[in-house]
Amino acid sequence: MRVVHYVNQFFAGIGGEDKADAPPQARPGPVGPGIALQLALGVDAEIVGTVICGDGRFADHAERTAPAVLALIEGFAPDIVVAGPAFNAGRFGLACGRVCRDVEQLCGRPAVTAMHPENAAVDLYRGDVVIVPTAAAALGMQNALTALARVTLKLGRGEALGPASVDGYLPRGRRLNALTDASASARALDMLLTRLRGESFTTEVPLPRYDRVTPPPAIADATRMRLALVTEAGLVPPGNPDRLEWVRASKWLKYPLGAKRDLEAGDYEVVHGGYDAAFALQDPDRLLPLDAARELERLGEIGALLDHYYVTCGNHGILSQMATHAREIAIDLRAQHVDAVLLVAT
Amino acid sequence: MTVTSLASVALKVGANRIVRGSRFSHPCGQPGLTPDDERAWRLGLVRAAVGALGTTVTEPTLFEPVGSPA
Repeated sequence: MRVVHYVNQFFAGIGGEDKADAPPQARPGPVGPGIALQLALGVDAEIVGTVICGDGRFADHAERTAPAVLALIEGFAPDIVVAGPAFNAGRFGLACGRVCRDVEQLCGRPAVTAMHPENAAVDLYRGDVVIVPTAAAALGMQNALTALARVTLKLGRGEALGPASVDGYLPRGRRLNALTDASASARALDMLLTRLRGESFTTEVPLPRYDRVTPPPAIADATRMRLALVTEAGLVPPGNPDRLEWVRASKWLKYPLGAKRDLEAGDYEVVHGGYDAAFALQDPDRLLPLDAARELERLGEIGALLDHYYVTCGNHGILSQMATHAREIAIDLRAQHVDAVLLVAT
Repeated sequence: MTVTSLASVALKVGANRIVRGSRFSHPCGQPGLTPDDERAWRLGLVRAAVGALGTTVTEPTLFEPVGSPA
């Protein structure tokens, strides 16, 4: 099995921060931590070459540097590529993530990296790249290399990885099919009994973690604010012209309200698999309260209403995707100088 | 701020300013009322939303609109 190892200028022994602009370069055989990695890999795998790039060079010129690194890696015709370990080094972690993703997606070869779970690159690349968790600093090198070697050999042999907790990598957010001895109800009861006995158990369905957002300050003067209406209720024009999905929506949309004072039955339809839309179709203001917002605008209790509304469908929404929709909508709202949002959630 | 009938969910996931809507299939509607009463109720709901936006909060906070949900 031919292995190519990617490291930064520091681990290659070129230098520290003063050499962070070191250009992409290749050396035959293992270098630096690659020597210990070779020992951990054993006789079934050979580090045929090492590709090196300065962290600053990669971070500042990623679009030019990544293809150059990839070309050097491909020059060794590897069966698998190993990057890092990066521990908690931010720029090195980002480079490792990018190199592994490119190797997999552009070259069709397996790749693996290793870093601390709180490395900033983890959030960015964990869905695409196999990342072995390490300690925060290089004192954890030996353990990191042992774990990295185990995953490298498995991937290099073309074997599918099992669950993250079994094979020792950070969860990628994927579901794997597996056969179990007991039905879901029996396993659930086992888990409940274990819990009642005060013993520890491992859930099969970890709950999603929700961000805590610092509350924005109160609006100082509502009579001057620009308010936008946003909803995840799937309220769209008839015929659903932009094909919003009724479940796991991949998009958000923006539709004009113009000078409308009221949403009329027949002007809208509901694309949402999560609720019965009969009452909303009778009067779409029951979802998006345009008539009331216009009335407050007329009375001068709010400054102005944005002349568009924003919509997606929240039914079975994938948390990460919904967060992306929210960020994109927020950027669009800011560009239109919106001060506040009334979001209706069904 | 968010209007939702599922206030407990909104509190749990960390929405900061929450106004309780009526039902999940029509958070801003009260189909059981006459059209005039329903519009008046909805005006109160949106007033509560504007009030929530003008209120300083330090954690997920639920605001109840005037008038009981159907």
